[in-house]
Amino acid sequence: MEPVRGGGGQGDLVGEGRLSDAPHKRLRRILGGRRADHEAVDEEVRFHLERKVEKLVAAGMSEGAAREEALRRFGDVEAVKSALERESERREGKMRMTDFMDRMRQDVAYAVRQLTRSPGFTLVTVATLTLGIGATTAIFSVVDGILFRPLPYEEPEELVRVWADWSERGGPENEWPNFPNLWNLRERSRSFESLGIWMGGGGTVTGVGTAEQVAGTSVDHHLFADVLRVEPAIGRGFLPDDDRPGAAATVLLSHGFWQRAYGGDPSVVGSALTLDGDPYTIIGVMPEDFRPSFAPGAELWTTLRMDISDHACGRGNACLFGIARLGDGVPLATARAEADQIGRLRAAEDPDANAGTSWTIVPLQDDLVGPSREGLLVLMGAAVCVLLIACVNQANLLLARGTSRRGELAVRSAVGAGQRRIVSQLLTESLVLALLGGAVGVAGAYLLTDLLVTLAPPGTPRIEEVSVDGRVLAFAGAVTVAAGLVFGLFPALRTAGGQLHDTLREGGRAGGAAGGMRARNVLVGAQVALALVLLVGSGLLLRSLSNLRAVDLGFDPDGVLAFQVNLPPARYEDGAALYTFHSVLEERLAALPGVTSVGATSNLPLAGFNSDVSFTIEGRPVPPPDQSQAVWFRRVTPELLGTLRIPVLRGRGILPSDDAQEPRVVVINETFAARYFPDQDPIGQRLSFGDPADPVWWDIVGVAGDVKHFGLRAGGERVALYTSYRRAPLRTMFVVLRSERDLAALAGEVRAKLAELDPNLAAARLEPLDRYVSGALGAERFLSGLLAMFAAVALLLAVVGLYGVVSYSVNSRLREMGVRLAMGASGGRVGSRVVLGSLWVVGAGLAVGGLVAVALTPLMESLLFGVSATDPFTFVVVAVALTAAAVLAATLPAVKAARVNPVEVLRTE
Amino acid sequence: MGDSSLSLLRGTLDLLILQALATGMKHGYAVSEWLEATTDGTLLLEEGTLYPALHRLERKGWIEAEWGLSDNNRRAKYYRLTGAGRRRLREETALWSRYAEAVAKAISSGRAG
Repeated sequence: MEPVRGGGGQGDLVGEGRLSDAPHKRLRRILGGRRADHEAVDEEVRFHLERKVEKLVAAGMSEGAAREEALRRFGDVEAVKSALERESERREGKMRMTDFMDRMRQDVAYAVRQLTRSPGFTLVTVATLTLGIGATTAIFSVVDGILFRPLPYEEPEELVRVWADWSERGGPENEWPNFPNLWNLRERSRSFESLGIWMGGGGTVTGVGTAEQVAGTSVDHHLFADVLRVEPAIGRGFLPDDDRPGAAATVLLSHGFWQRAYGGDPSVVGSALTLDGDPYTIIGVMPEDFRPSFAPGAELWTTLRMDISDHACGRGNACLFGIARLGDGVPLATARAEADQIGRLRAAEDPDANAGTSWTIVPLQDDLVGPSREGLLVLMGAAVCVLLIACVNQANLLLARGTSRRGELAVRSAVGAGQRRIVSQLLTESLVLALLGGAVGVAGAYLLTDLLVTLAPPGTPRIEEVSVDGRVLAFAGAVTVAAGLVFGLFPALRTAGGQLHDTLREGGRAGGAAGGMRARNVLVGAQVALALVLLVGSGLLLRSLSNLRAVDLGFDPDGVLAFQVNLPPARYEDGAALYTFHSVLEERLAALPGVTSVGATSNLPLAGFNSDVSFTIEGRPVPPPDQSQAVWFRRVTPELLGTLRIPVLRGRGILPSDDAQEPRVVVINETFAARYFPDQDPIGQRLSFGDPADPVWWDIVGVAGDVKHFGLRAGGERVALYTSYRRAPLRTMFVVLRSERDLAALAGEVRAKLAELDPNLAAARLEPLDRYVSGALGAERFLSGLLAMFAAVALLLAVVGLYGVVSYSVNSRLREMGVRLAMGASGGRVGSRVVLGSLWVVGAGLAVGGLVAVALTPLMESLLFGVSATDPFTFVVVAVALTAAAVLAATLPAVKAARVNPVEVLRTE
Repeated sequence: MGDSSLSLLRGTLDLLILQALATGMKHGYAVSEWLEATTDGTLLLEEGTLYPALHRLERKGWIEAEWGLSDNNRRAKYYRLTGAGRRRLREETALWSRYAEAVAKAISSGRAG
């Protein structure tokens, strides 16, 4: 039954035509579409029923009966109608979605067309956004990995670090604890579910390839199983029996060491490993991702096997670490209060050793990352600054482009695009830009994060856990969308708003310039302000760094090669053997061509390796136990002071003759002399170490200069003394060589000499001594380097932004310049007006930025050295430099203004 | 429509509507007439249920609608197959034939045994 269309050839279709893309149909759907649909449904049903009735009547039924029959055949009319209306609602929803997607597609296509039409603009905007988003994402991945991400253990918030608290005795709040006290705390505490103890370990591994010095850790049997709750990937963990004094030696391997030394062979479990000459049974391999950040670099784990009466570690002897796990739901405050109580009880029971000491309990994560927090947050702040500058830059460029596109937009608006539509188009453009910048930025962030991890100063906690992961990508995504929307919205509103139609009437000339200029000036001012903050911050850090570099070390690291050697007890049984080895080694190394002197010390400056002993001075009262005095005890060979060029200020240094003869002698440092002998000649005074009841006296024979032993900042040296290595030999020593030759070449010969002497020994940390020094500045260099980079980028963007604004304003005012010149103003005058006009913006930016900087820089006080956070010199230098750069940026367009040919300009306009 | 009429299997209605429109554009009433005529009134169908099905097919993009004038010069909503609808019809027809064939085969073999 084909319809006869348009009855009598009155045209093809009556009504609204095809549904899918007729604009007025769409309009109808948006305005009262619901009612129209309702009517259409009614009409469709009515048509059906009427035709049916007609048919039945034609077949001979009465009108009434036909109506009844038609309704009966149709079924429930109301139900059908409501089903139809539901259906049309669903269709409408789908269409709205389709419309939206259509519009999106159109907008994106339009945006892409517009952006490819001005590749310069696109490139600059995308590049700055890439810079901003990439830098922020990379820094965020580092900051997040170190500061915010929970430690990679089960219920990491329960883990706490346990320190001895010596603050009541004038010592530090986080002093090294000793084993008996930790044992006591563990026995008595109910807040801790478990408490694990560990100390540095490792040693020279032999028998697997060449001898190798391997970092390791000795742990008690609680640490892995109960505190960290980590199981080996292969084999078994430590059992209480492995951890008893005298137990057979067992060792767990790190995944890395297992791969490196055994090629990942699982059958090594159960075999033996020789560590410092002693046999250890390998009982297992830890999981690949087990790289505890509190013991970075550890590759072997052995058991402590300590006795309750072991006092080897403790006060001043950086040796034992305590990590505890709080019981389920036990608040930190409760654990702290309980630990304090236990500490006081212990002090009362054994006042000689513990009077005035207690416990400090710190969340493990804070303890690990605390020292890096400030620097990382400064970096994050700097990256956000760069991002903001990039966004402001984007807003500024969009605004400028918007102004020059008003003609085009006015046309679009005239052909029916609503203001909302135009805003959404402009927003789409800025989103597309941001997404491009974000995509490239994230790709860059992967590289940059790797670079940051590589460049991060040694000892940065948790740096091995840093990576670009889902969290980081989510962050980058959020930043990108925010950059596109927030900083695109303002220019879009600004561009689409106002009188587009007036623009059209003006013949498409850039209109509303005054308002646009004001907005752009504000943005450039903001860029200048942000750049100032960054420049001041990096200026302060650079000044600190140069102050630190200028610090007198007290020794001369240039031309000195250093290394560490560890002599295992299996082959070097006693002090005599140790001493003999070092004598022969020094002799052989000194014979190398170009080597002028060789020495050895137990404690190399800035090598982070120290031990102290308590002492008494002859003729002075023995101090009560809670005020016992300690001194850093350095065992050196006679040539050490000379090799490092540590000056002997009074008396003499350590001589070869001191090695064996009585009396025993020491050389104290300046700090010691000043602290204990302020008005007295220390030479000839005597000291004793250990038990004051049974003194063994050592004569003070000289005073040596202080060295920066613990870092370059204040407090770099404490009370210390030097004594002959012969008197108190140690297994682990640093050897130093002064040479006139290239140190890299020398290093190879040193290795060869060492192997010649004992092929089972390895030289660890074989490096020029100035590497140790720069290592001590690692954090400062890293931070100031990055910040300087960010500041340079900020400066560049601010200058580019200013240049853009000034040259735009010159271009749009060429006519005015022409008039001025025509009326007799000199070119210089016109040009300098341009520069001066831009200086307003710069001045305002500097003022605001200065205030912000003054408010912010005190936050980085602890990172600074020898310079105040509001150092006027830095502020002034930065402001002057910024102003100079700004004047330069404004001069180029100003020159153009001055050279305007009035006749030409006035004729063309 | 007595006992000999079959009530419609769900989903079959769609196939029949598509088939009805395969021969050309029709309004809803014409579709119901076509159904009645081609099946000799075998299929029991409340005519009203046709309309939700038509609208659903329209939403799915298998048919499209437009308002036109009917043979007696009244406004009516006409439906016709889209390209997608034509493809759908082919698929459904093939599917249905395979199904019917399989069922018929199973039944006849049951009788034989």
